[in-house]
Amino acid sequence: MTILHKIARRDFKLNRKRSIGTIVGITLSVALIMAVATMLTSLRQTLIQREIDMSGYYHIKLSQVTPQQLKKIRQNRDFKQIKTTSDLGVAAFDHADAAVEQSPLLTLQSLNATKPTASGYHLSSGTWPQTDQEIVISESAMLASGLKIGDQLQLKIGKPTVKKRKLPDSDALIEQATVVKGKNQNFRITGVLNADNYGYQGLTSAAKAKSYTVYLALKDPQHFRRDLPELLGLSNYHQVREGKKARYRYSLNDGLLHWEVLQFSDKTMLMLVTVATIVIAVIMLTSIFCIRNSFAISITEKTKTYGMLASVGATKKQIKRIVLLQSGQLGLIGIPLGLGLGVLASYILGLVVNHIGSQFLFGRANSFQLKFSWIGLLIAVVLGWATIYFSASSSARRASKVSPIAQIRNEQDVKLTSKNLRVPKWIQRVFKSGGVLAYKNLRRSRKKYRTTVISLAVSVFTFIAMSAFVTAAFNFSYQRFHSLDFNLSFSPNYAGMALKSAKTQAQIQAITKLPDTKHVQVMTALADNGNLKLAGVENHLAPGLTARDHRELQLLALDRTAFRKYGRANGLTEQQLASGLILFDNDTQTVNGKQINVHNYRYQAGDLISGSYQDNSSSPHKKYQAKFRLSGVTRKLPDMVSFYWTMPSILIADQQVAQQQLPLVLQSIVMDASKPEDTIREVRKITLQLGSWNLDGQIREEKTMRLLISIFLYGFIIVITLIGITSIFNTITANMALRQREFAVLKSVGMTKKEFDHMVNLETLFYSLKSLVIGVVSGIGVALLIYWGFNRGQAEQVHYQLPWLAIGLAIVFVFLLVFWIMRYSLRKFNRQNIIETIRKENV
Amino acid sequence: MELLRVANLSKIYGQDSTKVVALDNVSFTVARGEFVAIVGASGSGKSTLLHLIGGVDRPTEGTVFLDGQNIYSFNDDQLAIFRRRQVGLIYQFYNLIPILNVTENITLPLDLDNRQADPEKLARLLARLGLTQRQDHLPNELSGGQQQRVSIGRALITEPALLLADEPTGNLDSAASAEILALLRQANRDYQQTIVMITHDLEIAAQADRVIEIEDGHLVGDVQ
Repeated sequence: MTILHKIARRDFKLNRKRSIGTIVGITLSVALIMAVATMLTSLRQTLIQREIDMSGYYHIKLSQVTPQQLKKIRQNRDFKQIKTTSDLGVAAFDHADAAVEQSPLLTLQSLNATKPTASGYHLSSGTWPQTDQEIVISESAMLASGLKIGDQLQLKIGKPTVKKRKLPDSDALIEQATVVKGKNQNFRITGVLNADNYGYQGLTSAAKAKSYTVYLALKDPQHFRRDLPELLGLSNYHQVREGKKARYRYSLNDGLLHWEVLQFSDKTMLMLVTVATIVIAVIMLTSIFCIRNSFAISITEKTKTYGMLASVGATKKQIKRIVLLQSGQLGLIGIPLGLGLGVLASYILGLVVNHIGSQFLFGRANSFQLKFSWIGLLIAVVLGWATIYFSASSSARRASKVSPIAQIRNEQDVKLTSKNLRVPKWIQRVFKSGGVLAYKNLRRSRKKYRTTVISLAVSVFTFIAMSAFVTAAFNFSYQRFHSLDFNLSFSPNYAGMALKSAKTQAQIQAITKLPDTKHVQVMTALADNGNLKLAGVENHLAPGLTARDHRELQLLALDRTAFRKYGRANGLTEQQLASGLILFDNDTQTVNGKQINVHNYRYQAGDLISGSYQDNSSSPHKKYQAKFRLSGVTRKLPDMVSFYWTMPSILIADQQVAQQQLPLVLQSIVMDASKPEDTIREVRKITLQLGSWNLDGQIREEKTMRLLISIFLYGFIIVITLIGITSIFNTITANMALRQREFAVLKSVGMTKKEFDHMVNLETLFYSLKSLVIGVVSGIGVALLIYWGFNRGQAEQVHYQLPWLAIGLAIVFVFLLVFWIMRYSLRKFNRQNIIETIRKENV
Repeated sequence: MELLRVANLSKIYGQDSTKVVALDNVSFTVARGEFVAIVGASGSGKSTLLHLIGGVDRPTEGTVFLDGQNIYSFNDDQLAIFRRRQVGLIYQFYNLIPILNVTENITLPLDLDNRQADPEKLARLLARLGLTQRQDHLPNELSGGQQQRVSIGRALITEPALLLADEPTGNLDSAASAEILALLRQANRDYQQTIVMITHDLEIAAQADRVIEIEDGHLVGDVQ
């Protein structure tokens, strides 16, 4: 061991307290990086697992693959797993509910694998079919037919035909399709498929077929942009995206690809990258600042040692090496500790997540899966070392730079003139002689003062910026679901629930009368998603707009109660509302870089609006004329409309008024149900044509997610704050320790406890005020930056909120912390013998 | 034969109103094997002179030649190596490294040079300094006189061309002072060690071969 190692090691041991303080700082920042990496990796793994459980383990699904093609696919080495089901065709489903205008066809597949879940099939009850005599059918088919597990089912299997023209199997859902030439076959029902709303499905087993559905899992999903075009016989991924004709009919498991390849939309990616960069920069900067301060302060403490080493001939390089060796030792202890702590924290967080309710978040059977991240480990180690190196190198440079004579005299921090030691009168009056000493000391030890102020300011800054980050993150995710007055929404799966039809009317009636529901609202729209073509719009447009772009307007109609409620909420009178049409008109324009709200139309309440509508879904296409007097213009959409539509201008009509002139179809029914699951079941009994959206489940999921994110983010803030506190503690105590001798001298000449207190109070005031000013201002700045990051490329903007609470907390906290640490150091000093302290300095 | 030449050495601290001329155009030479005492009142500039000769500070004007070499033509690293090999420095306040024991403090300049101390020579030196029993002790476990002997050991271990002592007895009682002086004289006599020693005590100065007197930064006397 060279003398440099020896000095570094002994010094480390002798200054144990300071070393531990620095190690704590290093440990915490490495732990933070490690925990963030582990949590992100684990979250990704969990989401991947969730996708696999929900939709099956495959990336690409090929339909109607011939046996020859399948043979070829099996030779392709890009795939890790190839699963197939055989296409048996479609069957006329005689049990289909005659009331439902849905195709009475059932798509039939045969399982070839022992684990059908790999293809995304799940059973809600019963067992999988084992032979070609057994079958499981989808929940909707069960409901429609009233069949039970164990029942026999006869199916006529064949090709779907519409008006004697054969169709591919996948088009089996087309209305009016039938099976003309089919083969009758008997099955025993063994279970219920937990399949979605898309038609009736049946699965049997081990039946022979002429074509297959193939589920392909890629060996290396990262290369899916290369492997997919290869498989499809296209030259590049660009052609895939353009929708060029491919060798196979295919679909992608987007959910899985999302998380495995991190294939998000460019906007989402931009937002994620921006926010992640800002957060990582904050962690790194805080850590570097804080650890750097620990080094800086310990260098100040050891200036004399370095001076002596220099005077006996240690070169700059050697002194620098000692400091770097010391930092290396701290890293050797702190980094592994940090890695361990980070993983431990993630593990505990994982347990908490699973305890609170992973079932809401990650699917029924899924738990949060802790996955160790080697890349995270590597990043944490590299960033940890980088942090230590950057923290120590400036101190090392500083230690090596000052001339030996200055170090021996310990004079490099003290550059005094009597002018800058002049004390303001108010300090003399308020804080007496103790305060005067404190003030002079701050003026004298500028560097040490600055170090402490920077430590504090960085902590304040991080605290405020991170709090803003948390708030922004919450606002971002929850903006959409705030204060909706419904928790269930039903929309038709297929077009064509005409309001005129007696059956639709009866179904709507039945749904609105369901028990345990309130605020039921019905929204209708022009058939075929059509628009109203306005007449004479040219005279009612805002300047600069052309009639060509603004002639057509979406028309939505609300039931009378909902319409009135909406109108009244926007300040319209009953009299105005009687005419039955409100124009929602709220566009945004960027003027001089600022977004402002504008109207596209210059219609006013009382104006006559006339227009035409052509119903393309009827044959022959029927044309309608409509005329309304405008009740008023609003800037806000009803919740149930904004939930589905985000257009700048929409016509909202009273259903009863609009119905007299225009053909309307059901758009959606929303309600506030106290037992959402029960209500969904009841609605399915009334009609299978409506798909449900349970916002309650979604809101519960959001709430759980919110709780978890808060645990994670507040944990993050706490750790960052702790790093700051270690650094503040280190700097202040070291500063006080360096002044021990001075204090002893002051005490020996009769300075009282009260005067010491005044001194400490003033120093607290100075440290706190200065750091708060810097920290709060820069914190607010970065908070703005974070909001900007969240809003990049996003349609829904998060509005900036000044982080008042964080600022208030920071102010109180800083004063208390500084005061406490100063008192702590003073108490420690008070326990020492005066003369011993004075003498000690001479060693 | 000339070992050290101080040529027109000046050192000014501060500027304008705070300007202090610590040394003003001082020149003299020291022959090899000579024991020189520099005397002067407090603030006369003698410590500044010593630091400049030892290469721990840089002059405002003038230079120092040791063995014919202009030490201020060196860069900082060369100067550090020069101090390590050519100069032994003894301070009033010992300036030992508190975390190194007696032996390690003594061999520090060799260690910094990546050289091994000859064990026999080290043992002889420790015996001569009366520190054999104390070689594993840390500085804070030693008396003032013992600490100063360690710093003399550190100065002698490299067999430097020049030994510089800044008030080596200034912090010691009379018995310890006598011991330290005897050690220095012995080194001068037995090993022809060239010594430049600063003191404000004329009695101590009288034990040197030659006394140079400094007053307000000027050389005012040089007596053999």
